[in-house]
Amino acid sequence: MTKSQTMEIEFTGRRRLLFTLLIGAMAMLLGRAIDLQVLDHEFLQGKGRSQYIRSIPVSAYRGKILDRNGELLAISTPVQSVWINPQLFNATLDERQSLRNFLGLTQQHFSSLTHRGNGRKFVYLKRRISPHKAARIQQMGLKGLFLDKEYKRFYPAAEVSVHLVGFTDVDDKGQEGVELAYQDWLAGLQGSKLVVRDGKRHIIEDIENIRLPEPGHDLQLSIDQRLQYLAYRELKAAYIKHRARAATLVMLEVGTGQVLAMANQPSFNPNSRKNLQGNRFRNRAVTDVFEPGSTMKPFAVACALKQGIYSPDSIIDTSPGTLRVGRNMVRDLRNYGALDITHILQKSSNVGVSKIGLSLSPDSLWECYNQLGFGHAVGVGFPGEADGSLLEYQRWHRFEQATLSFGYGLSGSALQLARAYTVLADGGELHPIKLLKNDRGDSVRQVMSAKTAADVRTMLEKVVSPEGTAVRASVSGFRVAGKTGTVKKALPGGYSDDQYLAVFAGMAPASHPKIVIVVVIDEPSAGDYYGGLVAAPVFSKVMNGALRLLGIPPDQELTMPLIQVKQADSI
Amino acid sequence: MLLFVMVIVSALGVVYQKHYSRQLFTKMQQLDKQLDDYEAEWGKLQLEQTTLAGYGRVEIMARKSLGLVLPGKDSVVYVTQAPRHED
Repeated sequence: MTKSQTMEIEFTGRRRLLFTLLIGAMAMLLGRAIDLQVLDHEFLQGKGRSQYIRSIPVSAYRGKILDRNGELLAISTPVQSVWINPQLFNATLDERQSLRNFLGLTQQHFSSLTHRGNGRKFVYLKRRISPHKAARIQQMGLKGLFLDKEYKRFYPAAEVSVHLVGFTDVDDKGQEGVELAYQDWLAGLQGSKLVVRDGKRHIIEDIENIRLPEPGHDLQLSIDQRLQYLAYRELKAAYIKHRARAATLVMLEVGTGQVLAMANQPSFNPNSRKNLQGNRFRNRAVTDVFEPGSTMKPFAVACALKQGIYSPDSIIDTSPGTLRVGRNMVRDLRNYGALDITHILQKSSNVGVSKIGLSLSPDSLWECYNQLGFGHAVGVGFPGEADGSLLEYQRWHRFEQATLSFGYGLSGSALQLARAYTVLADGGELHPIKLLKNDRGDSVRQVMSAKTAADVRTMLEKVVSPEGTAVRASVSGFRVAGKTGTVKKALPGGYSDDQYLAVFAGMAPASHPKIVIVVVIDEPSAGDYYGGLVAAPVFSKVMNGALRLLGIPPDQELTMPLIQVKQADSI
Repeated sequence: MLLFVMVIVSALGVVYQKHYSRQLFTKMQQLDKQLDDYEAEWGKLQLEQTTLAGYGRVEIMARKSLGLVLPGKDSVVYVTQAPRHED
């Protein structure tokens, strides 16, 4: 006791020091505790939660693409993608073997995917397998193997309408065609949800949806799949028969400017496109331009009629079958002598049309072509749409003006040419071209008078007659108006002598046109190359089928047996 | 005392609500799954329908198996109303 008493006396100072230190340390601990528990609470709890709660993306449904009658052109169906975390994937050899066979992967590929190097934690084994297969894989219950829901795009129409519809890539983004043009409308918004995961990244529980995925919208195109198939079939047959390099067909509805069909050759199947060159993907009808050649002649005539310089029965002397313009010569196949305008178109006389073209002032011819839509894009919002070219008239020489009147020296796409023909078909009105069924936004322009359009149409009917160049474009029971073109292809430094485009542009029924079709066959190389022999028969077959499918009554009388019923007797 | 009881009641309420919301969420997940399955099946059926009714297939069947042909122009009779209307 004495000892302790002495110590008590001796160490008062030390005891106080110790006590203060202890209190101080306690205060610090308390302060830190308050700091963590109260002040930093939010931040730290968030950190803690992030160890086991994660937000993961939920893929959204991509809208369907339909034709005007609601037939499917593209649809997304849910599928599963298999991925592994190689760090956790520890299947036995047997399991690996059966998984590999089930997914159809090669030994080498499989082992490189499951390789543990680089600390990889996410590797797709196989994307987009059917839900049925996925269920089988799930049953194997392998560790470190996961399934994610994704969507796969199917194109039931396959190669028939692929150039128009386009396709998506493996991440469901539009790559070509309408899929690309309307990506934002179709795609929808990816959602996300919160899940609780254990240390091995297994999802234990779904907690809540942060954002529901917003499904994309459906898109209804203006094309009619029945007509599209018809166009595809006939175009393909001609493409093969004439051993062409490429072929294009555009069908427009008169009065609305809607695209009814748009086919291209060569084509491909968007559902399995491996090892395909990019040049097959192009929608040539919209992206590729060519010189329209003789198919421009009706417009040169229409421009002259519009100016009142000529009337439909004016006579023009085309002899001797050549015409010197500056230092160049315009030539006809032979000397046609004096012709009226109808016969100039019927015989497709370059000299006659040149005389008509040269009688116009350059600016009025330019203005007229420009109003018909040459030189600027159609504006349907299709990716890679071509503008075509039409030189400013200030830079024209007289020979250029002559060549422009028979369709050289300017260029346009098949769609542009078809649009210009709708002006002749539709009483001089130009409608904006539309790809969507419900696109009603319309700013119609009167490009020429209804009478001028009707006059030219009457002349073009004579082209599709036994005396004209396009008798093979005729459709029994219907009056058809149209114009052939056999265009020499432009090469660097001049025009080719053995490479041609066979073109036909026309409309039916001529008395009251409903449909305009343009057919372009690029480099037919099986002998025939005239537009009237190569392109016109395709026009005839497609037009025939289209008129029948659309239920358009024939306007050519006397060739058909006819039963007339009185109004009262009709049903 | 009253406050204490109220706190207890509210706490129990929170627990119950949380439990209930999780239950509902699980239910929703199940329904979502079901919806997915229906969606998959609907897609499959639509595809099947389009494939079976594809124009190419129908045409081949009609021409080859059934021997159908397009009527030639001689075998078509057009029936029109007496005062023929414009188009």
